[in-house]
Amino acid sequence: MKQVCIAMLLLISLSASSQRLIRGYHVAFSYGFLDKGDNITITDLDNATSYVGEATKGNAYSLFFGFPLDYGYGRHRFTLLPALDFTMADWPLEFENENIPFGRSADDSIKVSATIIMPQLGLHYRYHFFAGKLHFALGLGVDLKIPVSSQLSLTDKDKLEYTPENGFNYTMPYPTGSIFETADNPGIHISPRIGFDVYISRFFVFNIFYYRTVLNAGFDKSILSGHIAGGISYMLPFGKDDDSRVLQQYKKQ
Amino acid sequence: MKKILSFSILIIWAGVILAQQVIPVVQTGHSGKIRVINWDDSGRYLASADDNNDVVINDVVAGKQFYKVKLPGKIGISDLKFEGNKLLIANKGKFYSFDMLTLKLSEGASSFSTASDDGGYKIRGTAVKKGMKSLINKDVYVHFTQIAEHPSLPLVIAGDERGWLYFCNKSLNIKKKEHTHRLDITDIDYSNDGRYVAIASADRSISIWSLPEMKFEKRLIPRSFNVYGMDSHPDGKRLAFGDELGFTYMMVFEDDKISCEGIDTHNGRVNDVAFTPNKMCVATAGSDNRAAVVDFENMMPLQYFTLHPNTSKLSQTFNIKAIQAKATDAEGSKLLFDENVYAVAVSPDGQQIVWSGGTWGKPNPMMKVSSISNLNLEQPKEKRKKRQPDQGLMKKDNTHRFYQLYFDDDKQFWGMGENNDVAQSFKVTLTGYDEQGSGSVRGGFSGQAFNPNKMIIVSMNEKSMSNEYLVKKDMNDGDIFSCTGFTISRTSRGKTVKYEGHRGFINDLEIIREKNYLVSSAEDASMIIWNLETGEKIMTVYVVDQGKLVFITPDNYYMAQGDALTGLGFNYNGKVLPAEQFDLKYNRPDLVMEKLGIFKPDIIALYHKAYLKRLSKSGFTEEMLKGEMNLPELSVTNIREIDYKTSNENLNLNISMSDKLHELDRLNIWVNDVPYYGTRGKSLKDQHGKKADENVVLPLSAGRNVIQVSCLNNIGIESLKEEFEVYYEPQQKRKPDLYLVSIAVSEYQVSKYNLRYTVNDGTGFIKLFKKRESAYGTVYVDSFYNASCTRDNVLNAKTRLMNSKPDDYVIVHIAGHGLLDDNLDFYFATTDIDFKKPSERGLNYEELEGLLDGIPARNKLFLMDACHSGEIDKDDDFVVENVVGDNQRGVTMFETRGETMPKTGLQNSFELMRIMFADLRKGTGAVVISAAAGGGYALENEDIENGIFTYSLIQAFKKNQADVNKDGFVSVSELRNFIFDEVKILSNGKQQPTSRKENLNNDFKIW
Repeated sequence: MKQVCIAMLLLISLSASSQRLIRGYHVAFSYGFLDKGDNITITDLDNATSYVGEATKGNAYSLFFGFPLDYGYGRHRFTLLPALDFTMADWPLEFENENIPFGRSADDSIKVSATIIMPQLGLHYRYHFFAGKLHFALGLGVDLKIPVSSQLSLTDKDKLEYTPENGFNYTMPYPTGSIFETADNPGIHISPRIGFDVYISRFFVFNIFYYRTVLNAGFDKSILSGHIAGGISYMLPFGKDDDSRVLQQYKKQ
Repeated sequence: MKKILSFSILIIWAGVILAQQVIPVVQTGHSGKIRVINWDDSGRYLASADDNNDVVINDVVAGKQFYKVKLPGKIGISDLKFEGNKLLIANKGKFYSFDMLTLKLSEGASSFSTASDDGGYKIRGTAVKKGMKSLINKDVYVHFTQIAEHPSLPLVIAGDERGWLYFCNKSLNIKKKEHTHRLDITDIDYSNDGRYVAIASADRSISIWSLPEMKFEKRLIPRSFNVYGMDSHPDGKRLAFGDELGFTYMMVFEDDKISCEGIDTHNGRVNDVAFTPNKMCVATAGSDNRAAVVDFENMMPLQYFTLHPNTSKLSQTFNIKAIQAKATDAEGSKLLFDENVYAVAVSPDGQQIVWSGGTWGKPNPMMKVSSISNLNLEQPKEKRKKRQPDQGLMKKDNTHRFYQLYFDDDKQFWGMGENNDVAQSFKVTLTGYDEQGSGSVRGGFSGQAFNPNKMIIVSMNEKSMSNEYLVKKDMNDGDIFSCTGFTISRTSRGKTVKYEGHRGFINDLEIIREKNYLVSSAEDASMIIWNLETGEKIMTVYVVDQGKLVFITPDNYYMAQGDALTGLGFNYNGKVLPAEQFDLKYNRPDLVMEKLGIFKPDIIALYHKAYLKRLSKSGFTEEMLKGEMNLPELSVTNIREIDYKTSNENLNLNISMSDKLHELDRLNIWVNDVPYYGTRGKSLKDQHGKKADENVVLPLSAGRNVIQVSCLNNIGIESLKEEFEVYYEPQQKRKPDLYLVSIAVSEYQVSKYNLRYTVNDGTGFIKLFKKRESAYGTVYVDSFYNASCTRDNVLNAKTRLMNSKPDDYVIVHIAGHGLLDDNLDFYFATTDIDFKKPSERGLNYEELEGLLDGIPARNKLFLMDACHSGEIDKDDDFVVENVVGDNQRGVTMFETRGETMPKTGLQNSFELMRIMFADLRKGTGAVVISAAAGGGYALENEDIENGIFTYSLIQAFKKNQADVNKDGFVSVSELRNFIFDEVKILSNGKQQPTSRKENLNNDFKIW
């Protein structure tokens, strides 16, 4: 891994030599098809009753704010993307037991929700190409995500969280190795991605990309597993070409 | 030998006498973005047009600007085309013709258009395409701006908006990529023979490349830059101004001369300049987010004052507003993100400074004040120290951006130029400033007591050919000066005076009342001094090569400071010729000063005397220059076949010479001002004819070779010189050899003249260069000390020097007694010299310098550590300086002539001549540095056990002390300057070395 990092940095340095660094702003939104997860047992502590819920699907919404740094040579460019990833993941639950103090099926929107905040550092390669006057780029890369906050809860359709304070005193141990346990503690992880960029203008880019996270690394896959995202980037060159400054080259040393 | 030298001095200047009009051309280059270029059919001339409607024609072969012409009317030259001796110019639907022989521009030329040379390759933003072929910019965020296909070679050149050049084959595969320019590539043009391509850029330069090698040949760059802010001092003697490179200058009209100093102040244009109470200190406003106070006594900026606090590159990184530096408001007239400081002023007590500028990521523009009491502006220069940058105080609710600021008392200041005819007043407070009332500028500020010397801005608008864009009011008499197009109009009591002569939009106006001058600066890189009352153009002033002033009168006489001569050329009969060819006739400081009308008659007379002295030294009189004379003609017939860059060590020259009246006498060729055939040239006498052809195989020096060729007829008249440049890149690099000749005598046959440390000097000199043996191929040493230092032995040293090669170094050092005989001729005392008859066994100057004459080596230095070794003005009163004791190295064999006291400084026309005029006599090409003036003594010192001159020489190389520009090398000029200063210090001013001969074209690296 260390060697790969060194080789990557070396490659970046070489490709960036005498190149102009482009920096910019990036906002994206993604919808994620998550792994479903194993059954989860919820124990009502007041009534000493346990309920087994099954997550039949899982989905997520993520919002990214980033500051890409882009450099490279010709068609081949690398992007370093420091960003912040706000992910909200939901696993709607279905219960066999009729006499439960909350809704029985996914239609009742009883779900396990995770809120995860992950600063991330992305390293992407892009291949730029042109069709007539249109400018496109195909990219692939990885994001290193470092969760700083992760919290799971049980909520209903009104997004009301079930807690002892509002009348439901329960425990919800996550089965070992389940997707819920992963969501509760995602850990530092590498998230691969591929993307397609459309340059609406020279510096204004529409990004479409697909990526996977640890929430797509469970045992019970959904049919579509991964995050589909769309975003926009506004890229700006470092160092402006100020006419007055350019004349400084004529100053004698 | 002396006779020969006198002859050569006489003949070289004859070329100045011509019937046709000769026009001095300041080598300014472009003062705007170049938009279009075109070669002439021969590939010698290259025309280029810029944003200011200036067309510059360059003689690429001679490496000189041929002429610069301004097109009238709307801005927008779109095409250029040579047709014979005419240049056709297309501008906004109108067609002009410029005659290169008469230098006349006429409208109404037939329409034309040059064919597109894109070869079907199309620019698609960041890509170039033709069918399936494509070229992608190395930076996909950068667009291509130009594409041109070579007419015959498989070559396509593309340029982008960052100045990158892509040399590709027809399949658009990159063969070579260069970053020669910094802004948009705006045009690409191949020469007709396809051997060169010229590439123009918005960065004001043009690069020339040879094909098919795709080798960079040269870059034509601007040498003179626009002046923006100006301020005149109330004493009427000083004008401060700043240029767009960021230099601040102070021009001083002294009683007997005009001087100018420049200080590098800003990293961008200087927008405004204002005097402080100390006349040697000025405040400046730059386009680099800073104002400054600049000290011309200490020659440094004392302190900077920041406008916007957060505009560093780092802080801009994630600030989207700050990055959009070129964003403008809805009307597109105001920069929203603007780090220009537009105006600056200092209070009369020197305690406050105010500066005002544009917005930068803030809702409002900025205006700040700060206390500058710690700069001690009123104190002696020793008390003024450099201070840390200051952020200043501001008012958050400030909404003003002024183009002129002015304190009318210690606490109150006014801002002008924001709104038409409005001056806004402010009061300095502890926390910044408070806004007061406003007044009408035209109305006189409601009774405010303004300095009557000031010119106050009434209004400022976008520059235009048809509307007033700069209006200023003279607070003395209320006269209004307005600028429209390139013309200034003054309205005074119903009368209008026009000041016409600029070739660009006017940037600023100032009055120097005491001199009755109006001074204007414009976007033609010039300042013009006008007669305030009549509008007569008195003088055009250019700042060339950062700080060298060139004054040109309307009838083309000029005064050039320092080596500003290199920034001049002469246009004559459709050719551009080096300045030295005409310098004798047109370099007339006396006429320039007379025209300025501010110098006393005796000062002008002194300058005239200096001029006459120069003529005399060159073998001319004023009368001779007035007449017309037949000149021999010379041409290098194969000049078209000569490549600018070559790897051949020899250059073949086919030279054709003729004279209508007289037989040809000799041929001269100089390489970097070193005569290939020696000072006598090559004799053509045996051809006994008025015509001669010569084929010369000329060995080249590595690097740049400025080659000049001329011939002389048998009455000593010289042809105009053919000049061109060749750059030689040796295939195999060879270490040059070093030849050292050391001549020193401490023991004389007449022992009373014995010296103590001269042989020390000689051995020290050898030891010094021996230390650097590894830098040379072989170091050859010839030393002649004491008994071996006889006339014959020394003259025989030339035999070895004749074996040298062009790139070798030869350094001759002498240490011993220098003598003057009754004719004021210098002799070096050999060991057996007869001190009463030095000519018998002594070595005269010509014999010593003759060691270096005609030898193959071109890097030649002659160091003379002896009394009286400087040049003497034999025509004037001459007095030997006071004898300074036993440590002197000289004997004077004559009695002081006349009873007058020696004259000093500018009272001495000989010294004045040396200051005002470059010595263009072409001698051996060697640089000669002498330890003392002609009437001065060289000293030795027992503490250092050396002559002071030689000791300074040795010190110069210790830790590269003489390397002023810190490039790691010591050039001959750096060595000379170091020795001059060091000797003066070590001798407490008793000894002053002089430069007896210079070589401006060969300032070689000696260490």
